[in-house]
Amino acid sequence: MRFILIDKVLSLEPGNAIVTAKSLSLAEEYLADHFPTFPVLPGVLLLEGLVESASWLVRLASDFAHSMVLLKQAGNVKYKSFLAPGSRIEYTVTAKTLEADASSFSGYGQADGERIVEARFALRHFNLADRDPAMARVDKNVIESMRQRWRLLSND
Amino acid sequence: MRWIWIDKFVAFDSGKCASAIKNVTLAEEHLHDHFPGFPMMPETLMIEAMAQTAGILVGQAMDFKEKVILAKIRKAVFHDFVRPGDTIRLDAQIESITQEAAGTTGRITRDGQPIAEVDLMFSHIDQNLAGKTFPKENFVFTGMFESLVRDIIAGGAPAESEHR
Repeated sequence: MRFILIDKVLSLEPGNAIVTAKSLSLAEEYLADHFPTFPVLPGVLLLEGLVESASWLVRLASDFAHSMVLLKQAGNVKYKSFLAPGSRIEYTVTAKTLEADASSFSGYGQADGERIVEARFALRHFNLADRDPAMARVDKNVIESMRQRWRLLSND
Repeated sequence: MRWIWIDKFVAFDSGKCASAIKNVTLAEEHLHDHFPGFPMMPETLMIEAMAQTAGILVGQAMDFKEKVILAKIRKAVFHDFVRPGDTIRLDAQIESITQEAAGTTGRITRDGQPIAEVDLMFSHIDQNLAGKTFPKENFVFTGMFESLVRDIIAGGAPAESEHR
């Protein structure tokens, strides 16, 4: 599969909050394994949707200063219900802190008015060149790919 | 991609603890999106690898009769990222287990160095979530996991083995 777990951005308050959506389709291969007679979006990919949503808040707030925006910590990630093919989930993520090299968020996902997931999590942001100056070109390429992906998600 | 995030068990002590390994390789398609030009294993999939290690441990403790579903990530903390060519080791322990639920703690390492700690909560969904309907058969522990658990069921705990 591809590893892009949100489809579009619905609204954005820079530095503060973002709302995104992911539609789930039976055409996604991994649903054949999870589970054969009960296909649902795996719980960790619900968290991934929240993390990806938050990462755009980070990238936009810093004008894509860092190539790497990674999950540092997650806590109290609660699964309330299942997301089945044919549904669309909307993720709402709010920044609690947003600093140069770290950030923290709370978020939830909802489908048809039903709460599916809730989570609190923190990200860390850095460039590979911070550790190894020779990696500066890799940073630049990753950042350019992320700018392109943002244009795709935001219809910018 | 398939939805199986461990390659084999290297230790299994029924009802107590289990250890599995996963090789991370450029042959896995999703790595090329995360991130383009600098592939690494997504942290959320490392949580899933732990959920599968711990989930099978919990499932086996109940003779694979319960549908064991991830209900909560109590805590996940990451110390370093994991790249193609790396092998990660997942050590899971059962902290509590009842008819309805189970709690596990876990550690992920690479060559003995800490990568993450992941503590989870599982639900035996037939005993919970009243009102929702699920397929009768155990859709969680399907044939896909057979090759992973065959040795565990047949011979009990496999001996600790070198995996390199």
